[in-house]
Amino acid sequence: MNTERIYLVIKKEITLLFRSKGLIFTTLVLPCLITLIVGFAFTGNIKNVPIIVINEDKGHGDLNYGLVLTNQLERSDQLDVKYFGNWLPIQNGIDLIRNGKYSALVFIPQDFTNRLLLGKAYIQVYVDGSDPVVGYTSSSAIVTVVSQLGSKGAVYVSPDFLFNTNVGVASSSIQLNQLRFVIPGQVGVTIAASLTALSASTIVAERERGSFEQLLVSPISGAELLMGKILYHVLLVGLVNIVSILFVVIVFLDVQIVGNLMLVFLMLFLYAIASTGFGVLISVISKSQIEAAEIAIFSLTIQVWLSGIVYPIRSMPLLLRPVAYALPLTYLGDGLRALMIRGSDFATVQNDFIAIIIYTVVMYALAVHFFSKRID
Amino acid sequence: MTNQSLDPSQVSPVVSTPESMILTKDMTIQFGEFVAVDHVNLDVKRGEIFGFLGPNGAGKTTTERMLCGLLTPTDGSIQVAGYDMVKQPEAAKTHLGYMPQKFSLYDDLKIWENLEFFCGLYQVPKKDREQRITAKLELMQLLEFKNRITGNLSGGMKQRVSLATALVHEPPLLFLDEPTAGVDPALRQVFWTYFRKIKQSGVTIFVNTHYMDEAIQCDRLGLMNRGRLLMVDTPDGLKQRVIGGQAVDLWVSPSNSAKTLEFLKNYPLVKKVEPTGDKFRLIVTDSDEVVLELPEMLDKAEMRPLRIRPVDITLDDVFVKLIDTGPDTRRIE
Repeated sequence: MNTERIYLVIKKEITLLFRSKGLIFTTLVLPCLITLIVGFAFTGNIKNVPIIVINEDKGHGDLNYGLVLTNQLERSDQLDVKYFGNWLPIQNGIDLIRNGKYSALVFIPQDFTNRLLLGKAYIQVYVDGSDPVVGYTSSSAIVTVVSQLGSKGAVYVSPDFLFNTNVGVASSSIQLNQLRFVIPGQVGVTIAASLTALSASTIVAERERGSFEQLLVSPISGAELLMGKILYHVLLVGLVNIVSILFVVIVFLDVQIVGNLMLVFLMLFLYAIASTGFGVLISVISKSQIEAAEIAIFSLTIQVWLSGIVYPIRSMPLLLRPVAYALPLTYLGDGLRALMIRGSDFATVQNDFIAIIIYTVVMYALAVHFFSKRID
Repeated sequence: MTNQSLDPSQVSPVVSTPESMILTKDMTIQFGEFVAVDHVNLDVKRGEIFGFLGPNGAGKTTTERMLCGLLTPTDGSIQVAGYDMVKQPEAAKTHLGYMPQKFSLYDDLKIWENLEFFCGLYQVPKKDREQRITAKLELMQLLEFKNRITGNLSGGMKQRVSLATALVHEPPLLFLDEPTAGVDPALRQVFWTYFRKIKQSGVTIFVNTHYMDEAIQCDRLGLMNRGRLLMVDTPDGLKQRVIGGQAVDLWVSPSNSAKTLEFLKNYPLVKKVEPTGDKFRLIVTDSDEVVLELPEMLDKAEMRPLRIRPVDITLDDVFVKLIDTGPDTRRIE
């Protein structure tokens, strides 16, 4: 390996990057911007979910806990209450949910106050299950409000998810609005998307442009060329992305990183190398930039859905689990969650580090291997 | 990878045949069942301009790509500048320059940056780089444009940058793949002036071309068809061997045509008669003698010719003659 040739490739790539303004934006600015946008979309609670309240409670003397409950629901930021008193039949309310006008219905029965005074009351809640995120949010908001009435006696709520039998019983403890649980996966996906997509075109672009021939007749070896390409992506694009994304996460999105920030950084850095190695491999084996882009997008989609950041690996069918364990995002997601949320030490995430390093070496070796083959 | 980290200048040539810059033995490449280049033996000497001719699809570019190390032959050996291209690719590549048919430098780099990049890839000593690049740009009359972005240049200028880049590490061997395709005739002349200048300094040039007026400027020509090297000779030697002599064109009135042909067949000075259109092309040993003597003879036999004149055989004639246009038999299916 000749280090000067590697250096020249890096220098050339940087010069080309800075000659192309569009590329500067997409490579250096877009990734942290996306994190910011996704962060803000997730941040705070889901607000103003429109719900129906039907109150048939006849009360007890001056007492009407049905009205009290309605007032408290109205006070919730997350809910936007449309009060129907006792004149709307439940079936008509459910039809309104079906039409998409409302996301949930709270039904307070006529003996609500009386039963509560005796210590035990029921309300009926129907939730639109077609959008689980909104469904969980509204039902958990309702459950939270109802539980505040608890001092008067026990109120039993049984949320009924409409149109979606799989959602099953909603747990009041689900809190999708907690950004910090989403961030490790989000950061990983952004780094992977940025570096894989960018590096996936790097060799195939030279091939399409024709500069590949001029490179290949020169004495530069495949290993040198690929090393230069990888280092450029990681050292410039990767570092800028990681630093800016972490900055956005900590400063703008106010996500606390419980564990060691250096370990988080190191893990993301290794993951950036792995993603670039994968991108360069795609670039070496594809015949056109469009083909490379398609492979990159397809593989990223697989990573997002199978790496355990969206859906737990333990719940996947047996057949898919080996795929999940072959994806680097699986280890990054696991490691970052441990470091950022649980504050684990190095020993806990050691295996994640090792897995990412092995993946990187394999990608680079495969890229070099196919590169020498692909000259023909 | 240890092999590739060796300093090319310290690798000794496999066989020391100093005057052969390109030496191939039964060089063959097969793509599946298709034999694109079939047992080609080339021996190009130092300081030669070697032209490579052949119709489209003859295997010229494939041959040149193998010689440059872009393709690996499936059989046979290639020696370039004394190095085995398959076993010592880095050393061999250090000694050659290549100007591809299609412009292949970086559009977003300045002229100077493109040359600097390749200078570095070829490991030209750092202290020499600036002077080398300056010299090559001067030779190509590009020095004043050195800070221009390459992508904004005209086609002709791009070709010149491309040639300057191929020369920047001062290779003893230069490969040109149709270097003047799409270049106007004036600039083509300029290019050939460059090539001769480079040759003067001892550089060997291997050039693929379609233009016969270029081929004639080569020292030797190789003629390729359907993957086979048909013939290698000087331009004059090729004419002599393929056409078999000098040529004379003879026009007679159509009514005399059959009689004349009969007469010519028995006329001792004519080696061969080819009826072409409204005239006969005669292949003779000495055209002057025939032009002087033949009209008189015909006149005596009452077949007065309309016109007679000696013709220069062009390489086009040679080309057309050699390249038979029958079905391609290289596909074995």
